[in-house]
Amino acid sequence: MAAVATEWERAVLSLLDDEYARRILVAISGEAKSAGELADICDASEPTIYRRLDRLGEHDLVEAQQALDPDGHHYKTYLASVERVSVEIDGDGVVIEIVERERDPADRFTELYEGLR
Amino acid sequence: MGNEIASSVTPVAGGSAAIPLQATQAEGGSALLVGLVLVTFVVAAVLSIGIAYRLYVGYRGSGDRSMLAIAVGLLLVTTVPTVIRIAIPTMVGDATRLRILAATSSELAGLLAIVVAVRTPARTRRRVRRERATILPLVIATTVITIDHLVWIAYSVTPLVGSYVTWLAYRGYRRNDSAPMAFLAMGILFLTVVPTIAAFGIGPVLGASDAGSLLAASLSQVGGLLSVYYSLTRA
Repeated sequence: MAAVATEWERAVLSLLDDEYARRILVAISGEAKSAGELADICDASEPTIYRRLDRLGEHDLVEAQQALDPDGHHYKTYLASVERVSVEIDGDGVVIEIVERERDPADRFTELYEGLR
Repeated sequence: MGNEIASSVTPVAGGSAAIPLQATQAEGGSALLVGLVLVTFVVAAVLSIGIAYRLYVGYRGSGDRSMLAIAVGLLLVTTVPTVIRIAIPTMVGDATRLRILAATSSELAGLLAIVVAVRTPARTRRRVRRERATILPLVIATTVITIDHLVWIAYSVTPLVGSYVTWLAYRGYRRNDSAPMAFLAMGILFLTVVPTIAAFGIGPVLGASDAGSLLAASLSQVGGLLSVYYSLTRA
């Protein structure tokens, strides 16, 4: 079974080649953070952060969550949804394996149910 | 005679909104209560059709298997038991235990479908090697199982799984600030947990009459359907 990397896998690999994308993933691997916090942590401008977050989100590596600030306003936080990426090379070719973080069933329930409405 | 009636009615009040016909046979009391039970039946029927339609429209075309599982699960918790409660007595006559078993099993199957769907990872890419906890291993002893046993199993397991799904939905509301999830949690609570508590806990303690417990169960069911419908449309 010759494994041909899909479009998605190629996109993920090229994203991981990006310094800021990697820094963002590291920063949000454990807890969700807002774009503003990420700009500080990664020492980048907010537009830079947003561009990376958009691309990471497009390829399902990051998920956005709603949060409330003390004044009751909504803002978005982001959480990495990928836990491990491995590249396996053998006689059949290259196999890229992406292991996603186990998600909280309550969040999954919310996402699926809101998709139904 | 009196005992016979009592024993055939208690389970009616329990699992399910009962049928007006049986209420008429069973109650020794007010025609008003029976009338109210009848009204709750009509309301339940209308709401459950509305819910089924909403779920169909919501799923249509999405092609997402997990979303389908949630839609079918909710259908089994809302519309199907309501139809069973109306259809079985109409077609089979007095079949209280059969009705309870069918309605409660449908709810249980629906709840389990939801649990499996939300505990399955969103997208599994290639060879994900990870052990996952098995969900609710059910071990049924291989003794002779009568319909009564099944009724009691469905009766005791459904509220437990119902509580778990209610808790998941409530946490979904808290974590994501999602109003629809709050109403969904309330709906599932009133459909799958409250009727049993009303039948076995509060009803007998308060010394409610058969018709009274029956009405309480029906109202809980209608409240649950209303909450789910609101959650699907407005919330």
